[in-house]
Amino acid sequence: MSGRDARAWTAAAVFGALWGAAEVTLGALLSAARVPLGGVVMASLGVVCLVTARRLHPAPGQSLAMGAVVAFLKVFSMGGLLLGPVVGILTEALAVELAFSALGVRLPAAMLGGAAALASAPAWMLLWAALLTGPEAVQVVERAMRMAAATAGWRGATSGGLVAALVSAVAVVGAGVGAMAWRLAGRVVARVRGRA
Amino acid sequence: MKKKLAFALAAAALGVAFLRWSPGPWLALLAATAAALLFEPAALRRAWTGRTLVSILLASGVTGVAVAWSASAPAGIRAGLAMLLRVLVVVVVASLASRHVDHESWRRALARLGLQRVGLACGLALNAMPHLVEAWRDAWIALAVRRRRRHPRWRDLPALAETLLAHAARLVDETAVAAALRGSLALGPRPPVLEGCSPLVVVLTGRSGAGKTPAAERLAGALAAGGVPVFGFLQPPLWLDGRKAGFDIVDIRSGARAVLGRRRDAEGQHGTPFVFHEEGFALARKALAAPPRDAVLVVDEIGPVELRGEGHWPAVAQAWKAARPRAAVLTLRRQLIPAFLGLLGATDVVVVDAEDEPDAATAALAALSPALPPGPR
Repeated sequence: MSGRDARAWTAAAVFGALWGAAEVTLGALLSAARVPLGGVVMASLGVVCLVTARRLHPAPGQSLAMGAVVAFLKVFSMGGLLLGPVVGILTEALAVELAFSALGVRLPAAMLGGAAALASAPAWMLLWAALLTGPEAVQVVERAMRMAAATAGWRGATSGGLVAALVSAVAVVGAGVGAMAWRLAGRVVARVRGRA
Repeated sequence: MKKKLAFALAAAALGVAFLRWSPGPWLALLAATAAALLFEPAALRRAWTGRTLVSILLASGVTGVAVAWSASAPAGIRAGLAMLLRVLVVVVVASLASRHVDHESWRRALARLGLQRVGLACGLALNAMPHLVEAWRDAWIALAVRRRRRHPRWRDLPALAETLLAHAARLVDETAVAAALRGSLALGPRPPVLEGCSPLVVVLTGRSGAGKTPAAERLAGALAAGGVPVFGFLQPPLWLDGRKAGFDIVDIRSGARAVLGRRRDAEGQHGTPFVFHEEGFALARKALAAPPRDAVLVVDEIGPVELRGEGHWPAVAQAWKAARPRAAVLTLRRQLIPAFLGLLGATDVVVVDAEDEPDAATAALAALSPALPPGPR
């Protein structure tokens, strides 16, 4: 990140602080209360902060720097450093960074980044569960999922297809969150600078 | 040493636990337990609480039963046991990490990776966090009062988010401007320090309107009248209703004048309320180009923009290196003096405060005298 001034860095720090504050308060609460889809809610808040900062002060590497800042702040979360959320935060930041680097600071990049960021949460969860339970248990779950899919009318479904369907559904929600974040960021830019 | 060994054992335990090798989980549990005993035995007690153990046993039992039902009983036992051991390992390693990976070790790791600016951003974020939480609370209360309800409605959340994000955006600008005004180069791009022998530097300082520019103008006139070659530029301000409305550039040698900046609050550039004009920069470049030998360089004024290597800085740096002036007179804001002197590599420095000196031009001329040729001045 080599912006013309310090704004790209201060944006990474201040919007990282905003996201970090949400992670250590609301994130810890949702996690402790085992609220379903709590990870998706937190990832959505992260996408809003990442997209707004990038739209205000675009600079390559800014989203990654913000991810590192939030991972650092997560150390102050109740219960100390939690490896899973830290990996999740860094993955989200990387997804948004790659999307903006590839497509430029535009709406499609925000949608792609949002989709990848939100889809990374269930992808990590499934990978983590597969690693912990072992290959035999994964086979059992695969069989059960295929049976459930067949019962629901989706015959010949593979486990890869089922996982892809789940991740894609979350990715669609993520694309919507990315678009909403882009719109919100536009309103913030207009409010701060007096133009969109 | 003990800490390093414990962390190596914990990392090895995490790696071995997930190998498709039947003794793997057992060895991993051994390594994780050894790491905890070596470094902090209490971590085991904290990690393996009764409630956690019951949960792990239940989850592993369900997995084992599912695999036994699907394949065979021995396969079920193996799968359940392997999962039990893996989760025990993960819980111990996570417990060790949560206690011993603190913000200081994070900062050290970032510095070791050459990411000092990320470390500074982390520190800034840590300071900004309580302020942002307070801003969120204030926005929430303000909205509740406006809606005449104890709590705002769910549909008010987007407006709240917009308010908070706009507040954060303003904080970004204020922080960057504050850092620039204090001459902090830590987060912005910094131009390289000018190497080589520095001439005598006389710094004219004082608050805005203290008379720095008139003093520099009188000093340049006195030097020229005394036969000392002078080059550089002045930046006379324009005042309107007691407010600085802009500034021009004046070439000291030719007397040519051009517009440099005009106040346009909403469209200000470089974090200032002014819009800059290229003709002003062009005249400044011309004023600093082809300098006479053994001359005195006068630069009135350089600021945060130049500290980032922009504005007049490339021309000033070029003149500093190429012309080798016998002395330099710079007008600077007080808080920027250390940063600029560091950037110029200046060691022989006299500071003249226009607020304290009744005749700053005469005081600056006296400060310059060791570098001036003998003769009438």
